[in-house]
Amino acid sequence: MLLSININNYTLVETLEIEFSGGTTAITGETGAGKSLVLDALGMALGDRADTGTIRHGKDRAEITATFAIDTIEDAKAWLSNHDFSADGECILRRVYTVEGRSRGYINGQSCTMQQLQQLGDMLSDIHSQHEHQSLLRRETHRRLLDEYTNATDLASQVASNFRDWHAAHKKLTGLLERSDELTARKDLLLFQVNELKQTDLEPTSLAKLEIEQQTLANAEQILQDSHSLLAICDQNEGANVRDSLNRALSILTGLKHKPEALSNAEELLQGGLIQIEEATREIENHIDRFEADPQRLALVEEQLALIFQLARKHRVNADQLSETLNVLESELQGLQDGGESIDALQQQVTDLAMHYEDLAQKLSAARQQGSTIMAAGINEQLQRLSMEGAELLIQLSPLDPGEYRASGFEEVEFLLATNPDAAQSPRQNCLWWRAISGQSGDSSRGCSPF
Amino acid sequence: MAAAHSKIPTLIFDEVDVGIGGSTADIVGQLLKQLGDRGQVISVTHQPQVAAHAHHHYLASKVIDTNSAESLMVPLDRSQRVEELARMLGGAQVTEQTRSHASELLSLASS
Repeated sequence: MLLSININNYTLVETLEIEFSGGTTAITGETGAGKSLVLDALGMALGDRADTGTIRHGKDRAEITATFAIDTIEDAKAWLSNHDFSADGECILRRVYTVEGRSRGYINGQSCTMQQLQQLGDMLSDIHSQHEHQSLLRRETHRRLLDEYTNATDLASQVASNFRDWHAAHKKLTGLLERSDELTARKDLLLFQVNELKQTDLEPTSLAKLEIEQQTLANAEQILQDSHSLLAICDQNEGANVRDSLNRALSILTGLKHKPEALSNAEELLQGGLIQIEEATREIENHIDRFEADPQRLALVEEQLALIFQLARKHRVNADQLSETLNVLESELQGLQDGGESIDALQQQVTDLAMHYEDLAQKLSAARQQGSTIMAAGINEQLQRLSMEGAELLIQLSPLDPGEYRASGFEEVEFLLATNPDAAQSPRQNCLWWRAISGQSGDSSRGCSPF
Repeated sequence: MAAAHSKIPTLIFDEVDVGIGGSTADIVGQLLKQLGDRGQVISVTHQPQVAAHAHHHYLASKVIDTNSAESLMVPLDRSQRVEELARMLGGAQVTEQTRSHASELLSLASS
C-alpha cells in the first residue's frame, strides 16, 4: 500500500507531501491543475524514464520519494531480501535526477538500478494510465491473473520450480552424454588392457622364479650329457672307472703283511674314498633317473617371459613394474565405471523430474481450464453491468506442442475481447473495448482497466 | 474483478473513466469502491459519480502568483467534497441546485 509520496522540484511542484490511506482515493481537479502529476511523479519513483524537462524551472534536480507498506506483499519482501535490500515493514523508493541528465535510484537508502526500481514497482503497484505499465497487454499478466483467480498461484510456482530442477538436471545429463563417446572409448581400452595384464602372473617374485626355471631348462641337455660322462668315469667304463681302480688299490693293500702305519692309514682313506665314490655314483644315477627332458615346458616358460617383456615395452615400464601398472589401470577403470553409474542415476533423476513436472503441469492445466470458464463468465457479467452488451471476454488456453516444457506450464493463456458479437477476437481489441468504455480515440500507449 | 484477486495492492487508474455516461460512471465508482475494500485504489477522475463513491477525496489545484505556478493537493472534508462535486457537475458557476445535487450524490454513494 502506498503510504506517502514526497515530491520536490518536479514540474509545477516545489515541495509536496501527500499521505494516502487504504480504500479508494479519488483525485479530482480542473484540467491543468496537476491531477496526474502525482501519478507521473510516482512513475518516476518506480523507475520510469526521466525527462529533464520535468525538473522544476530554475532548479537543478528533482527528487521523488514513495513510501509503501509491504507487510502483505510476500513477492516484494522476497525480492528485497534476494537483492540484499533491507525488508522491514516499510519500503522507500527514491529517485533523483538532475538537469545534466544524471539519474539515481535508491531502495531503502541503498543505491539501486532503474531496472530494480521497475521490478519492485511492478510488485507494489499496477498503474493503468498513459504510463508504460501496460501489464494487461502482456500475456504473462493474463496468465498471472488467471492463476490468481483460480487460486493456482502456488501450483504455478511449483510447476516453475520443478521446471527449473528438470531443466538443470537435463542440461547436466546432456553434457555428460556428449562426453560419453570419448569416455566409452577410454573405458574399452582400459578394460582390454586390464584383462590382458590379468592373464599373466606379473608378481616380481614369480618373474624371478620364471627366469631361473628358464635358465635351468635351457641348460638341461648339457647337464644330462655331463651326468652320463660322470657316471662313466665313476662306475661304468669297464676296467677304467674310478671305483674299479680303487678296488684294485685296496686288494693290493689287503694282500700286504706287516704293513707300515702309513699304508694302513692309506688303506683306511681309500676305503672311505670308495664309499664316497659309491655315494656319488648313486647321486648321479638318481639325477639321471629323475631327469625328464621337457622341451614343452621350456617353450611355455620362454613364451610367458616373452609376453611379459612385450607388455613391459608396450606400457613403457620395466617388467617388474607391470603389476603396479595393472593397479593404476584398474583404479582408473573403476572410476569410469562409477561415472557410468552416475549417468544412469542422472538419467533416472531426469525421468523422475519430468514425470513430476508433467503431473504438476497437468494439474495446473486442469485448474486453468476450469478457472478460465468461471472467470470469463464473471467478467462478462460485469461487462453487462457496465452496459457493454455485445462485449465479450474469452480466456483462451493454447496448449504447447506435446513434450514442450516451459516454466509457465503446458499452455499459453490469453485474454481475448470482442467488442461486438461479430468481431474477431484479438488481444488488440482489449483497447477497442477500452476505447468503447471511455469514448476516447485510440492511444495504443494506454492500458486497459481490469474490471 | 480480476484485480480483486490480485496480490498487487495498489491499483492506480489515471482517468480510465473519461467519456462514459453518468449511470455507467456510477457503476464504475461502485466497482472501484469494491476494489478499495480489499486493497488500495487511487483513481484520477473527471466523473463526479466516481469521486462520490471514493473513501477519500483529494483536490489538485494550481496557485499562480506573479513569478511562478505551484501545484497543490489537499484532502477534502465532507463540505469541501460537496463543493468540488458541485463544480464537477456544474462547471464554473456553482448554483445552490448543483450543490444540493452534489450533496445528494455523496450521501447516496456513501450510504
